[in-house]
Amino acid sequence: MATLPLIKGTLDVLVLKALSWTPMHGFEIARWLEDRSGGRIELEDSALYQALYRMEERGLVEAQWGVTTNNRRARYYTITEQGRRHLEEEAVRMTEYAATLTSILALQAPPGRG
Amino acid sequence: MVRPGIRDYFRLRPRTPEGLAAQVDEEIALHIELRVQELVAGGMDPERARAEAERRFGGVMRAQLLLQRSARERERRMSVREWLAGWRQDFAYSARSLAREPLVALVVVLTLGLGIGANATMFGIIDRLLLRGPEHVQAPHEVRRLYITQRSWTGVVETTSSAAYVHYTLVREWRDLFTGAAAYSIRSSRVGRGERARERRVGWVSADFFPLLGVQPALGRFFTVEEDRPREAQRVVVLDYGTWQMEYGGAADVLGRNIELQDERYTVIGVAPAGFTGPQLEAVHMWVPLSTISPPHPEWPTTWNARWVHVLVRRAPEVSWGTANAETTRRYRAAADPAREREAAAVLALRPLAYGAQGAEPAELPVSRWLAGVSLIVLLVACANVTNLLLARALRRRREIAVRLALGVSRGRLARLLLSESLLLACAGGVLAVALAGLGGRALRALLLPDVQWGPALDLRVLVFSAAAVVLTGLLIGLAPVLQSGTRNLSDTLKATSLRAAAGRSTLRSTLTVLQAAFSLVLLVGGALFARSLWNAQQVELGIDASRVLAVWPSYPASGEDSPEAQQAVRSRRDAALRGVLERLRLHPGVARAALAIGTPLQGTLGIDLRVPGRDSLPSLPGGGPFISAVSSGYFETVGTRILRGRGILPSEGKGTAPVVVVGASMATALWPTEDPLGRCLLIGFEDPPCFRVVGIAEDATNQGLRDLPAMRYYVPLGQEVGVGGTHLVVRPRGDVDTFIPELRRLLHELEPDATFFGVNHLQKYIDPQLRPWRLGATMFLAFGGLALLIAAIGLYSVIAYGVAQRRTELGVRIALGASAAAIVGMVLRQGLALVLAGVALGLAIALATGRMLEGLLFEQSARDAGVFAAVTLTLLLVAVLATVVPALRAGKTSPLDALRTE
Repeated sequence: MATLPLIKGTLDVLVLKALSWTPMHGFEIARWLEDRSGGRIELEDSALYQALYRMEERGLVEAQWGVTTNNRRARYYTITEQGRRHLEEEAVRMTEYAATLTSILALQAPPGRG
Repeated sequence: MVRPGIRDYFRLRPRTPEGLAAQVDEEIALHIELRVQELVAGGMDPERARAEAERRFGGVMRAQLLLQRSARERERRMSVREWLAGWRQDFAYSARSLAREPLVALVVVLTLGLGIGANATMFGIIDRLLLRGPEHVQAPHEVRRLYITQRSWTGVVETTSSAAYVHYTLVREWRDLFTGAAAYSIRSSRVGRGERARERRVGWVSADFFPLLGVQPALGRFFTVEEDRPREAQRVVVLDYGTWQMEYGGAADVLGRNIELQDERYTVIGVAPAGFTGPQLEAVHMWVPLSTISPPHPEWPTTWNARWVHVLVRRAPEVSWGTANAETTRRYRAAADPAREREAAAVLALRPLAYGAQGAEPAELPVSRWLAGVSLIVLLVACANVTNLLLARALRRRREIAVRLALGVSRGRLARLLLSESLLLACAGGVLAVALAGLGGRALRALLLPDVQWGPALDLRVLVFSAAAVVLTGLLIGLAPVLQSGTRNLSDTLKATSLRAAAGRSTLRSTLTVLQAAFSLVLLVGGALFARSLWNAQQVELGIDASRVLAVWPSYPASGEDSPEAQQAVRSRRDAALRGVLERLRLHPGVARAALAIGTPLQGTLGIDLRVPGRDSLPSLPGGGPFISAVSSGYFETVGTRILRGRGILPSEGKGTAPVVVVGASMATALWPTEDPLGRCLLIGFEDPPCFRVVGIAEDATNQGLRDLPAMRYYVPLGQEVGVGGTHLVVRPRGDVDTFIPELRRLLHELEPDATFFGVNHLQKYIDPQLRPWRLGATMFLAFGGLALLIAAIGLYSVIAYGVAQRRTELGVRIALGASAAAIVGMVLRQGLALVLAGVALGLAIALATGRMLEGLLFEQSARDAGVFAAVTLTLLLVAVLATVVPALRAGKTSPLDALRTE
């Protein structure tokens, strides 16, 4: 099974989705995405951090330094109210898009042709 | 995991780029490390695991730089956003906390609104009068008017902007001094014909007038040099924008239409831009080529004798005004005919456009400048008062503030919180101020400076000024509480009782109260001085009842007669017709009195040769003269000039009867200081005039209005005059003068159908503008002074009331120890009055010191008038007692039990 390249804007939504569960640091987010996609999402780790910084700047996530269970200092990201709204809107939009795409691609060729 | 969200409390936000980079590096390092751990746990050997982790990160070095850059960008933007969010929070907090003390907020907003509003209003006026110059004039300070100072024919040295056309053509050639010159004359002229005719202000201007000012037409074009060539001029007209809108509905096809101006047909070729008023500030209805004017002199393009235009120049960039003035005088003297001594000794000067016809700044300008300063004082008084209130509030909040500081809020952050409160108050005051400036500005302009064509009362410049005033005011009133919060000793405040904390803070507040009282006194003294000046000016004996008299000037169509004899015949016929009109007018129930005259006060002066038997020369009076008037019987009663001795002009006297003359009082004294003037002889006219016997002495009648100097004036019977003309009617209506004008016009056209128009001038309209500076000064100084007094009274009240509240315990103790209520009331009253008396003393000193600067603007009024000072001081003390008595009485009612229990 081939890995999937990410469509623009999708990464933000996936990261927000991850953070909607609980605040996480960068590596936790990367692991979460790998686990949920069954390893099918191909992602350079630095792109993840770029997305996080960008969303922090836009006020979709907040970052705070915290301490991991192993007593390591880590930058934890939390989704903001604004981030939650963004996630909801984008999730609806993307789901509808995917459904439309699916229904078109699932069309059978009319009988008598081909 | 430690719950995140505490970073700000430990100030973990990096402040330096290095700190930021280190954080990014730390984040990456942790990620790589965790990835390596994961891979090793999956069975990979450590070295390969590290390589794989770095590959998956996308190249650590590259990613590091990339992320650091985007982190920097992120921090930059976020810090701006957080800064703004902080302010928003502070504003919201301030709004909530002010809402808990609505009375304080209300008083502060009102006070600031009035203070800033006064400044915005005055700025709107000053901006138009002084700063901006006339609308649409490019670089108005580079354009000036020519003034000529020389001895007049009456022997008085005068400065005037009235020039001959040759002055203009001469100056125009001096290209090295001026990039341009233009001539203009703005006068009331008749548009239309008969009863429908109207007087309009018409600018008769040379073709280079518009290019010199740098103005562009709103529609069509301005006229060309060819259209303005003397004796070949084309009758074309450029409409004022307002006239175009009002009378032609702004129609684009107005071009090519005809307008009848002074009985001649003019073709509309353009429309001036909206608000354009030429080099002055008063509205002008239309602009026409100067050369189309009905000539004031047959040789007008070349003669030095007719002074009827004003000359404008625009300075060449490299020439200073000093050089331009000196050169203009030098070249003018060189060009003048040496035989004409007066011209050869003349001094020419270029002065700013705002200057009046006599070469001086009109009194409205210095008065306005003073008023702008005064409005600033009002604002300072308002700020002092608001500072007082906010200090009191800060005292009430001192524990809240101390707690915040103790919890580690930085002093900068606390200052921002306090500033946000004062800025919020100033903003609310600013909104009120703009509303006030809009309403008040319009009323003020219409009432006090009605001739100036104002733009909207609230333009962008006034709004920007108000915004700046709001910010400055906000900072100013926030200063004291912020400084105070910065210096306070924390632990003392937290431990202190209210009694102890209040002590020592009142010095600043008392000082502010003293200053408020002082400034109020200064402003009220100024107001009273102007009010007295206005009163004095209104009481001036003009020698005529200007408010009761109309001067009526008939105009006739061109006679078409060429020979002097035929023209004389036409004039005689018209004068006879006017006598008929006079007889009919005298019978009209609306007319109390009427007469015919040549040479009426305020209508211009006439002079002809006059000799006195037995004297080689005439004495010279400061007001000039001798000026001749020719009047019918009933003239003196009509205009209200009293006959002091002898008699006036009899109905039987006129052409062909024995020559007689009535002499003005100053002239009689000057000519015959020791003898009886009655029965003396005056030789009036050229060549070999007959002897005019003096039959009466009249009181001095004004020539110009209020600031008139004694001049020589005499009156001969109408018909006996020589060499002067311009017969007009003077009418004294029975009832209201202005409402009688339309009826009078109708009557005149009915009685004299030959006349095309009757110009009707209410003599008071020449006096009113002269009263205006004092009216402006008195109204505004008193308004501002009253405002300052009100604000100061509120301030005093709040200081005393607050003091009483603070000293409740002390007062309670005093009462408990046996002090009577009266003694307590007296003590508080004394305390309040002591502050005000200190203010009065300071204010009197300031008023005495600055009064001299004001003296030039007053009318026959000393700036150190004891009566004025006494009255103002008493007013201030009375207000002070009123403001103090309420809290004093409350202090007297202090219950010792309650007071002691609360502590």
